[in-house]
Amino acid sequence: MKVIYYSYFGCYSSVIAAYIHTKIIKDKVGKDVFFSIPEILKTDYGELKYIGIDENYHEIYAIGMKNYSDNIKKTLEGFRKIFNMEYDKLIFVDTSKFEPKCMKLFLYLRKTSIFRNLVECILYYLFVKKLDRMKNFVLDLKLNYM
Amino acid sequence: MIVAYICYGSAHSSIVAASIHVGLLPNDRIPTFDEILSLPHYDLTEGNQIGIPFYMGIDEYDNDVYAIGAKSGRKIMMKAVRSFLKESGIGENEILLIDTLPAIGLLTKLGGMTSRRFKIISVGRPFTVYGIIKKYNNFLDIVNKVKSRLKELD
Repeated sequence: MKVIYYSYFGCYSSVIAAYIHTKIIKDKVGKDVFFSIPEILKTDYGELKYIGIDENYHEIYAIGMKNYSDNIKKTLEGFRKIFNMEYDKLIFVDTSKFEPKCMKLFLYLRKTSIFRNLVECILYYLFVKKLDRMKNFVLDLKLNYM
Repeated sequence: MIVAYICYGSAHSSIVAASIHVGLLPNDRIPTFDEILSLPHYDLTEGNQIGIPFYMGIDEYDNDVYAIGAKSGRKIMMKAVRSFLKESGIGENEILLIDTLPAIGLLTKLGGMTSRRFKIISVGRPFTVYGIIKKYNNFLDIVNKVKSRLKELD
């Protein structure tokens, strides 16, 4: 089974959720550790990023799909059937509700050196603030859907 | 191999290109109005069906041919499909994804919008067909290039 966490950008909430799922992130991590996660704040729309494997041997991924998630989910599901991958069930998990509202602005400002530190502080603060909710969200998913 | 033609709503350009590919439309002449209208899925796809791969048939090289809609996210969708298949252990040479939207003109785009989005089918549908007929050579070019590539791979 493949569990695919997705959001508009695919570089923040979906990555964090995937890392929580694989237990790479268990509790609060330091700011340096957080920003050393290779997939954090790296946008690559449409690219399925392999994060790891969970305790039940499910493969965990993160992806950014902009506003096309509904179509892309149907397409990937269609190709799963076309290539007879019945054994490889797909579970799509929308993490958009954990995405900061001004993510586009944050990503833009982070490119400029003056704002980089400020943006990273805000995003790290939001990560710490939302961590427990995200952990419960992932746990709930594991208990109810897997 | 899987050959998938991709357009905005899997209602017009991808359906026509896939139909030429599998022989439902002629490769040596401009089709008639009725020939285009009688194609499976032509100007029929609903919004909630966009993204589903429609099976259009099999070609002379035993490739299965599909038509898919991806709205304006065609590049993202193609990348997602390629990376998904790669992660599933399926090689890049197992699939060919072709964007057919550049083949159509304004007439088909406006007709398609009128028919599919605004649901004024009696007005929009004929415009889509006339637009396709007008740009039919673009479709032949795309399909012939794809077939040349498939022949090389065969």
